[in-house]
Amino acid sequence: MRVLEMDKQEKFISLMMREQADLRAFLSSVIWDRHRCEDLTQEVALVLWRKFDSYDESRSFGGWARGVALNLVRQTLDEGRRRGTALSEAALHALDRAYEEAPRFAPERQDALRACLGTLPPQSRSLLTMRYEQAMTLGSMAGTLQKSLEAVHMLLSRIRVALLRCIQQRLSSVARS
Amino acid sequence: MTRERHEQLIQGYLDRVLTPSEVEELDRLLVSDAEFRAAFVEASRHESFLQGSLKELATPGTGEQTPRATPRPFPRPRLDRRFPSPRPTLWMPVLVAAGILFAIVLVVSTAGPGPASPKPNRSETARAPAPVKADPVEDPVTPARAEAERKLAEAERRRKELEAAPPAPQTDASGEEKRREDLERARKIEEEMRRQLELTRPKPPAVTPEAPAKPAAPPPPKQEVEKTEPTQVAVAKAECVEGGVSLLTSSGKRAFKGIEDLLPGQGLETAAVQGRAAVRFPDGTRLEIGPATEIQEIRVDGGKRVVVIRGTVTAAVAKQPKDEAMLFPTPHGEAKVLGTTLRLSVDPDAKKGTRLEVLEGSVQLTRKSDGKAVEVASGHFAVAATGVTLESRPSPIDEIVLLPRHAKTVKGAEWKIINDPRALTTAALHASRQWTADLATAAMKQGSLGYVDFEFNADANREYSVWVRAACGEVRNIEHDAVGVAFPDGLFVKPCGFYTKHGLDAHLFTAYFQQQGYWFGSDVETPRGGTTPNPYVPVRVQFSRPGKQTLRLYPCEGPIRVDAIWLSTTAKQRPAADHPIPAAAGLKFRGK
Repeated sequence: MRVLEMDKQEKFISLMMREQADLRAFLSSVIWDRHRCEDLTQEVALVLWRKFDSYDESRSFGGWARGVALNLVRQTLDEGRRRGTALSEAALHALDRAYEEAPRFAPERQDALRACLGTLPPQSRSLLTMRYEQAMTLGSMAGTLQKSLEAVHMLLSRIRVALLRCIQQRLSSVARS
Repeated sequence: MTRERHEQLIQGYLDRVLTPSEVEELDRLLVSDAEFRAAFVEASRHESFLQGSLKELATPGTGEQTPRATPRPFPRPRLDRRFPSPRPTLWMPVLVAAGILFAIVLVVSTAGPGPASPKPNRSETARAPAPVKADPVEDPVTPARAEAERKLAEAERRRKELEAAPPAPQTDASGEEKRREDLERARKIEEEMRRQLELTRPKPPAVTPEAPAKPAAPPPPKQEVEKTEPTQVAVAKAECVEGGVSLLTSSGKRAFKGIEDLLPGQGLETAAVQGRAAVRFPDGTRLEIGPATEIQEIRVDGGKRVVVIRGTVTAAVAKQPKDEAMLFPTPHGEAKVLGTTLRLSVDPDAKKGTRLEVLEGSVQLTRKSDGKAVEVASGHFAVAATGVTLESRPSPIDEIVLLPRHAKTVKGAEWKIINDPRALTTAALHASRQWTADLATAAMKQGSLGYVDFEFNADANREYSVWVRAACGEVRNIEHDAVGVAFPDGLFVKPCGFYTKHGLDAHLFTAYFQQQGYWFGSDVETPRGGTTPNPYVPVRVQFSRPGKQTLRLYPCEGPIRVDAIWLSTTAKQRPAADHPIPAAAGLKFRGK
């Protein structure tokens, strides 16, 4: 029994490790509040573990996790009698399908990111540090940088898009070589 | 253009800066456009990836000096349901996996057979996944309930006192009116306290939802999730935008710390000059609280309720459920909102009262003294005050700010929207062709010159000064620094000498070569004697009818860039290059 439990744990951890980033991305794309999203991600993991015995291995673990996540999102909606998500039910379903169909990020992405970060001007790197390492809100960044919220958003958008393109280019050139 | 728009929506969503109507647009695209969906998924994954990876890369070995946050144990029991305080997020797979493993071991060792076991009770839920030293757990409901009971008793006592008080003599009408108002207020407070007490009533534990059998068919929405007992749920998150913000709680007032959760019944107060705060509700509703404002309390009980005692509140209210309108009670009345953008100015002086201005949607304003209500539509305002007729009137439009993203039509190949870090919003309209004024006007007469149309609302029969913020393009030269502006339905107070001689009804804006970067130009009058320090006079325009107007922007001497056009009834002198542009028509930004 003990051995079986350990096997199950290992299997769960392995599946969860593979899916956790995607699950978090999915939840942050449907839940407006970032901190609520973080809490919900943990709730999903807990429910998945508790229900792991009922998991049908012929199905995608990611799809199952998103199903549970959507259920919790709806539950949030019912609990507060207000919208926990900014998106409609139709959009949530469409998004669920899109996550299933879209190709996963390659493991080499981390190396590509490191290389692309090196190409960024120090100012852009500093903005990324504030936003993603120090988890600053746009409002606090605007205050610190003495810029408007709109300007901070525009700068961040441009950096994100540039990084995404740089990573895509690097990954495709690696694939070609 | 479509792709750019898609990118704008996705990036705006990631930064949570979209307006409710933009969220609706994004929602529609998610449902209908597979390409957009794929782009959205990729951007969301990229964002999540950045959140996790940048943290991981910021180790001493990579040259980053940012201190690392302590990883959050995973999963963590939720002993209350307040929003957690802001903290860095960390998703390093190995650490998380270690957390999961630890949690699972705990679950297995404390809850027996784990997934196959019957649903655990509350104490198991709180204990099983805890990988950290548990905090002392006390029932948080009891003190909250005791406090609510105390408040209710106080409210009841006050109401009874007022009811028992003898009516004012008939000769003292204002005294009797005040007594009635006080009584009405006391009743409302008592009602509110009862509601608050009800909220603190302990709830039975819920049950765990069934996980869906298939990913494609998620479980029914009504199934409940196992949770720990909620205490007071944070109703919103508040952020101190500028200094001098205090949090108002039942135990008094204290300085506000950056970003905090607002619990039911708590309020905010901003300092007289620079205090500014923002409040964000989970559904995206956002309040901007101006200086010298007191929000007595904020609650969410069915609908949202924000009690404004004085000051200014601008609200962008996400669409609310039909029977749960958002309420803004003030000392003089109450604004009832189902989803809109509004500005509320409350003066403690009853004669000045509460001024409600609706920027989008419609709001019902009810006057407290007689219960009379008026529906205030978009672009209108109403005042609830003593001695003022309660009616909806069109709001005066003093400032109009047009940015590249507000371009309604871009015709021809002359103008393109480009990114320019020097621009106000890092976007600019760029006419790259080296037009000379003669060539451009000839093309304009033939109707073959490209242009950009902006649409906006303006008042009739008021003089607007027009200021175009622009910069030279690739060539900084006196012959490459002019644009033309036309108003098909407007009348220039003084016709433009240059365009009039070509038989065109437009006005020239020029002399941008004189300064590096963007600045405000206008029409040019040759200074007499050569000593006038400010040779620029405003181009002024009037509209014969109120409402929608069009501004058409032409290149005249290119290459040239334009990043903002400002029509103002107040700015009558050429603004300095770094002059802040006011927020107008729902836009919130400052000049550099």
